[in-house]
Amino acid sequence: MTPLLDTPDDLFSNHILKYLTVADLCRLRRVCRKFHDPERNVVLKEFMARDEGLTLSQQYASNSAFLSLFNCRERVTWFQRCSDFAWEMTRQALRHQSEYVLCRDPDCPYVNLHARVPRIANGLRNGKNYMFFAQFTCQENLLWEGFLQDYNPLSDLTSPIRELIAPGEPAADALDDRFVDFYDNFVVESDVRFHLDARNVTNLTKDLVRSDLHVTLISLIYSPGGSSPELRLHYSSQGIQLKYPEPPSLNHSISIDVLMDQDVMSHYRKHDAYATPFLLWSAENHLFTVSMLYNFEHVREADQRASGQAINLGFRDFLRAIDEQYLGYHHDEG
Amino acid sequence: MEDAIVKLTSKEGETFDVPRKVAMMSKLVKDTFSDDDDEDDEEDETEVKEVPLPNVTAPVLKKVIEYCTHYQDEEMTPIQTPLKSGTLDELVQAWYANFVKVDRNMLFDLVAAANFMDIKPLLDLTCLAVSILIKGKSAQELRQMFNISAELSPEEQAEAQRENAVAE
Repeated sequence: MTPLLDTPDDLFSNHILKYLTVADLCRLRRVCRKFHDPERNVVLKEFMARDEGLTLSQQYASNSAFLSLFNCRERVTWFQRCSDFAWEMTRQALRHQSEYVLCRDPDCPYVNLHARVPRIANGLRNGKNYMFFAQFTCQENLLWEGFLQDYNPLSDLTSPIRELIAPGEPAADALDDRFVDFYDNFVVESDVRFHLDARNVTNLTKDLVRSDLHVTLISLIYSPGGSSPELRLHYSSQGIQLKYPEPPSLNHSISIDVLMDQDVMSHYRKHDAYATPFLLWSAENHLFTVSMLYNFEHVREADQRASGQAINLGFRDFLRAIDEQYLGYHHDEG
Repeated sequence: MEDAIVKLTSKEGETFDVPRKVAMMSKLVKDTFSDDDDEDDEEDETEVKEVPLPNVTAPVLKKVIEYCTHYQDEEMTPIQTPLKSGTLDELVQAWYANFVKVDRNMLFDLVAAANFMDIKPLLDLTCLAVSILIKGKSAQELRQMFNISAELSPEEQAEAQRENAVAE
């Protein structure tokens, strides 16, 4: 026995392994049987402890794909990889912004946004699991990071606003006029690709949504029975574009923060295309959803032609539908 | 009471006179004292007490005393996890970083001594130093460094290697 292996297991578990990264733990497993054998495996126990901690802090839903697709070791490992990738993208975006590189520059050396997110159907997008991972930072300090589930695994077109408006409450009372304008001018005219349930986000409050808030959104894409999962960047930028209502009003129960646009490159180089996430907050000022909308006029038109119908209704129509459903109430024209 | 001396006796029988406050950093020593105090409340507080440490060799005990003595003047800042750096000098004060720049056998003996004598900050520091030895090393480098023979089957090796590829 070498002195390292003489070290009691509880010292490994309680001290030495706590300081190691996930990559170090994986390598250590290969050193000898002490770290590999299921009976004596202190490394596996450390993975289990970390997984337990993550499950608790992340509040994974019981039907989460991340829980069902991976074992505890893989969950810890992929969480770490997502975190590392998100940090890399956050730093890339900060460098990008500080260098004033024109984003439409074809020689731009930075990782492009992956904007071709397929529509969801039965929890899958084009047969693949897209597990979205968000990272909220402020001046390179982490506020929160973790996986966000699809708000509705059956359809990207289900608006989360419907759930926030209490039954019996006239929609117009819950929403600010400017919010409606925003929705009509930006959301309806754009292509909402996904709404993510953000109710498990902690440590991000409305007062932290300022110009120095940096949001990075990536996904871990898993193909059942296919190749190794991939990581893709969907958004990484600092700053807030619009806040509704501003200042916060007690009269309106829902509020929304629209993040800065980020240009989408590669396939859409010839078009004005950009990604715009927005954060929807409940009346209690809890983050409710993170949504991503894209402005690809040519793509949206193609989608509409393919489906033979408009993807989004006008928001005022949508409000009317809510009110009719709950109240039998009709808005005045205009 | 402050000037009281404790005699710490190493495995070889060598005795070190240590101020009580320094010796009391060890929970083992502290517990020995409280047990004695319970038995004899009237005991003379200036009496020199002896604590045998049969698991700790003299050179290691000397290092442990050096640590506990320095700690009285400059308390070690607690180690924050997750670690913000992979270098000791950026995680603890310079004196403590230099303190654990010793050969591996001495480092492992210090881990064992800190564990046996129950000195938490020393245990944290020495375990951190072991972790930093492990950090970033390949399995083969670790085996060479710690003189461990490869004992995993090719299948186990392949499985672990696959996981490693994911984590890298």
